[in-house]
Amino acid sequence: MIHMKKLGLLAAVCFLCLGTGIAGEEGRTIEIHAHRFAFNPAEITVKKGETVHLKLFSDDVPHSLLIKELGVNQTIIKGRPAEVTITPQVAGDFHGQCGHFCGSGHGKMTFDVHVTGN
Amino acid sequence: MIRRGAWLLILCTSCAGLSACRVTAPGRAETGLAQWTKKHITVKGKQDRNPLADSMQTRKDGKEAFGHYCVVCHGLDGQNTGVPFAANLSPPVPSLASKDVQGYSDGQLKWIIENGIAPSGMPASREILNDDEMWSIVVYLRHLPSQGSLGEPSIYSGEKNDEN
Repeated sequence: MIHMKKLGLLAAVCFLCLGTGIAGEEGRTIEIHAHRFAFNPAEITVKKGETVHLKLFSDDVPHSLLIKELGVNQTIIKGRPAEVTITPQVAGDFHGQCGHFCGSGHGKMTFDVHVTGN
Repeated sequence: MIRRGAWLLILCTSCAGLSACRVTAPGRAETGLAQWTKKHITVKGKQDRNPLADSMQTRKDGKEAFGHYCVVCHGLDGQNTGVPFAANLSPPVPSLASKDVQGYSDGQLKWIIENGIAPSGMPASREILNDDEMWSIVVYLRHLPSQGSLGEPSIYSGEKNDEN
């Protein structure tokens, strides 16, 4: 009976952790999928000083997430999820884009990080 | 009213006559007029400044971005090396190292990459390339390698890739 309760509790925790935002000890993890020709989600909002792990997936061809001002430049290959961690120290909007040419709509493949003040 | 109609008829006939013509090389006067019009009237962005610093990395980035698809018409060196139809377009594909092209400001070159030029074969790259890539190409254009030094684009040479 106790085992059943523990299993139930574990299942509940796992369920709560699923989705785009996973609360962990060292900050949220946000899953971002790249595909021709968009990121999904295409924008995220984080707090200044907050540590966020961006888990990156490609659903088709090679892409990359390039956010110069946040020091992010990560190639994303289908079947090989990548992860980058950001802890923005300045509030503002930071523009990112696909940095790996992926075809006719490559130039409109953008990703924005909104960093809010505390 | 009749005169206006006559002018309209002449204009329509001229336009019809110009459409679907066979390709011929433009004359010197036509080329000169078109060049002047582009440089001084139609191509915008003259005062725009390149936000990217001219560095070895930017030149490398520009060369890579240029290699995505500009090479199909301009060759790896920007001077049409190996492009079989370059001279047969009307107007022909210009050498990007030429005085005419290098005479544009950085902002004008970026404007041309972004918006293309009509009437010519130069397409708009808006939404295909992002701003940084277009600006980095401008930097590459200012530092083109010597003609022929990079060989031909692989699609024309049959080589495996364009990693020169």
